Amino acid sequence: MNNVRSRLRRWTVLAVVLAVVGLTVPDSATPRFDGSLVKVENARGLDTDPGVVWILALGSDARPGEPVLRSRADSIHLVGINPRTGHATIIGIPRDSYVDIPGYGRDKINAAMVYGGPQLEAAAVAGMMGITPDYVFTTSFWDFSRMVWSIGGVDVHSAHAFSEPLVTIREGVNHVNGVEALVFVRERYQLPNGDFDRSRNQGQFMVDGLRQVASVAAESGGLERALWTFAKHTDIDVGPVELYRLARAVLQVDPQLVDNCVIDGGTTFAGGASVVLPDLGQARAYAQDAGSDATLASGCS
Amino acid sequence: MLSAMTVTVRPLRVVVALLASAVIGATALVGCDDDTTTAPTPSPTSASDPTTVSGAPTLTMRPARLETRLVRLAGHLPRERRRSVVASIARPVRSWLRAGFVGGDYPRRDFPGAFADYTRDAARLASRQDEVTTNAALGADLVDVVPTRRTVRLSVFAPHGRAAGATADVTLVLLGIRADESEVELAVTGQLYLTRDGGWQVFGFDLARTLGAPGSYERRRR
Repeated sequence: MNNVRSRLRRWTVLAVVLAVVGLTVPDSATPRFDGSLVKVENARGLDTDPGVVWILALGSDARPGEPVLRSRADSIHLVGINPRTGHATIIGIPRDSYVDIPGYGRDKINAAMVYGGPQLEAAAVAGMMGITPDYVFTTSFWDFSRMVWSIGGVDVHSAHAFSEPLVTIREGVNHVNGVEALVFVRERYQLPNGDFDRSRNQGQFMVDGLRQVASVAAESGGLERALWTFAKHTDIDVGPVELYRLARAVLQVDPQLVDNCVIDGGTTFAGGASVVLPDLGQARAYAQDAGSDATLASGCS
Repeated sequence: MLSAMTVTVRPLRVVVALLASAVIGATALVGCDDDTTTAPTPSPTSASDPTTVSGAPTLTMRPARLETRLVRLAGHLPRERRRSVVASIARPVRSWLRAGFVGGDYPRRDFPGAFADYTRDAARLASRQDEVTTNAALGADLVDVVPTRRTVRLSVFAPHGRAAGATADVTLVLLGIRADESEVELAVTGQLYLTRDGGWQVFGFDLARTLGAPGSYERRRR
């Protein structure tokens, strides 16, 4: 009797298991896979004139109450972008570079903005590099912070660790807000090569900032919204159509394809002040190399 | 050309201005859902309306209408002018869709006029990539096409009360019918960049094209 009950129980269990399996496992003869593999062909193009756009990016040293456009240029970068290829070259110019300033003789290059505003600064850079910028973009400390804030901060790559009161920068990736970004681009005393490393950090921030801007612009209407915010807080000499096309050109740059170099130089004294004698041969070589396509064939020398 | 783009300081107005921009952005977006949405506009197509698909007289398919919508207005544009501005911006997009894909007689290899509203340089770049920017890759094998989805979503940059630049997010899904009555689905998605320089023109594009079985685009979206 017990044997019969035991067999009955086993058959019952087996029947239940089979019923459950039959209901839950799909028919193996008709497997269903909901994924897909699709070949995507792409087409991209942008009408740009000129083919390589050169932008002089200046960070003004103006303190509160001082004129932004007539204060020293604390950071100076000549940026070439090639919207067709997505390449770009950032050439950092040491702010203490002792060069000819048209109409004012030899002086630190950052003094050109005090003498003649962004136009004279551009002329001094053109004389040093052999490239005349198509646009000059000038920002101040607080507007820089505000722009960083408006795009939600930036994940910046730092080659060095350093700390300031309330701000710590690790080696590697750091997410920085507007204030922290300002600390990152201004620090020089804790960097092995002082002002040269600072200029390199500023170029790196441009690369990482571009990545964040591209992320914002990728949202529907993101570019238009960002440009509108930018235009409201900026005095712009170019028309809105040209501004829109320039913004689209900048967004073609692939951050992976950017060379970020700083012009070398030795320090000496002139007029009682410490100055940098820039390696003009290197400066001209960078300009010649990147002039036509915004790429440095052999990278930063 | 040497221009100075400079940032000036308006510290006391910053927070207010940013809040204002957020509000303006939000109201523009809401607004576009009602009065600034253009009525769906039928476009001439090569497909008869309704179209008989696959030679099966019982199965008919209406070509999808072109839907144009303003989804983002960054700046100021008087409410009464929005509809006409949207129509002006959409015109070159519609012209490209018509001449490059939907209009004309099939089979064919050439798509003349597809880039008539592109800038000269953009037209040259687009012509070189016509397997994506037109239906050139499939055109010779098809006897007819039926658009099953056509949407254009516009984001407009309009400082100082005038529209200056726009991004058109485009989706075009076409059913292509071959001589042997088999069908293929073509989907073209991506963006056109436009500015108003005299009239509105396309100065850039970033497009993707996929092929699949009929209905595959909608299945991928689900």
